[in-house]
Amino acid sequence: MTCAAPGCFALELCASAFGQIPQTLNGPPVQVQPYVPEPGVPLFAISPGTVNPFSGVDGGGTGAQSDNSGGGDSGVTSADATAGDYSSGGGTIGNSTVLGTMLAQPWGATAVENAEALGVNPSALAATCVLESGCQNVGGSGSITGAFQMTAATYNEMITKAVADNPSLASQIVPGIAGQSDPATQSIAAAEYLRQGAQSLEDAGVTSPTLLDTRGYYNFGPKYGVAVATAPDSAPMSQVLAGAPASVLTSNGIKPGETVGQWRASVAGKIGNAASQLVLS
Amino acid sequence: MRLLLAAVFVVSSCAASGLAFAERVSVVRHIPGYRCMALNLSSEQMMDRSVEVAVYSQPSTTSPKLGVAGATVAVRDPTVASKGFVQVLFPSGQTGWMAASVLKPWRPAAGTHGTCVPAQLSNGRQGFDYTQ
Repeated sequence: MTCAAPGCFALELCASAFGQIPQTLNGPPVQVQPYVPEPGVPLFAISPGTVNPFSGVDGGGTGAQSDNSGGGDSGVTSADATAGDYSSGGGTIGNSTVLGTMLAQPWGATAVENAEALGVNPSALAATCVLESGCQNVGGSGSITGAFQMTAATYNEMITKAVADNPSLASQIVPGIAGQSDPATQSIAAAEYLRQGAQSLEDAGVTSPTLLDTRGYYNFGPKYGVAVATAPDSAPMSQVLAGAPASVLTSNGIKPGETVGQWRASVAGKIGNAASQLVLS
Repeated sequence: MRLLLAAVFVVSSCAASGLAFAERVSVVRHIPGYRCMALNLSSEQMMDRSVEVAVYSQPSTTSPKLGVAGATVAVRDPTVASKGFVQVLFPSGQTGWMAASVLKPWRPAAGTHGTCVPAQLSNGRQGFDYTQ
């Protein structure tokens, strides 16, 4: 008993880590009700959203295939496209903490339907809004705005492609640039953006891209995104991104000596189990 | 002493459980017969998602495409070349061909002596083992 004591002590302290019981968030979390207003802190209210319809469902599933065609003499091709401005990742209809956060918004259930209509894991979409804005419809710098913090150019490009991919979504869209400020409409563009990122990774031979993979794709660009997705945790980010402009590391907050594993852990720490889910459902 | 051992166990166990969200990805083995090369593109082209570098199934632009290349490419070593193309290993594990003109030697980050070796990863992907 004396010998076992240290082990018992250790297991007891780690019980929460080893024996977690899945909890599903149905509606917003319990809110602190301040009875003394704090000067300078704005009053806000969280409106109750829709009950999580994916309670008890775990992630999994497979990625989509994309076809390849065309090419120039050297194999280098270029087409019109807007540079990315954020990123994300995910599994099939995976339950996740972030999904509960998005579903707590009045537009959350619509966003889930939009993601499904484009073959995107709703948890991946939810993780994106959690990372970008806490799923709040807020402004940003320049033309960036909304729950998914998309630029006007990216929003316009993606909403057009989304309707081309699934014409039934046209009836869900607030027309014009006003749609960028409507979270439900922006969720369509954001889901399309995720879908394209995941398919691009698959085109590069990265099978079944996760939310983490796709986050790397958008943070570090398409080619370095592939390099990050095919690097071990031990790899220094500076070597994986060797040759990239210094701004790529600094703008993404990569510290000297930081490894791919540390970067992955930092993203996963913000979005929980959605990090390892597949993007395409 | 027992308390110290317990503390070490607690710290290591809890640290491991904290990584449960993301699968640990490690190098299983290095892939012999291949070396790392980089895409011969400008910084702007590297960041532009509209610029794609094709990987073909045969040494010809008219052959079916396997897909597109990432920043680091596993090239056959010694080089196997044909009609301006070199043989490469696609991340899916398939052998492909890329135009030699779009590749250049892989260089470590400025001011470092980093290395890159094609490797099989624990998540089943074919990737690269980088060191500082």
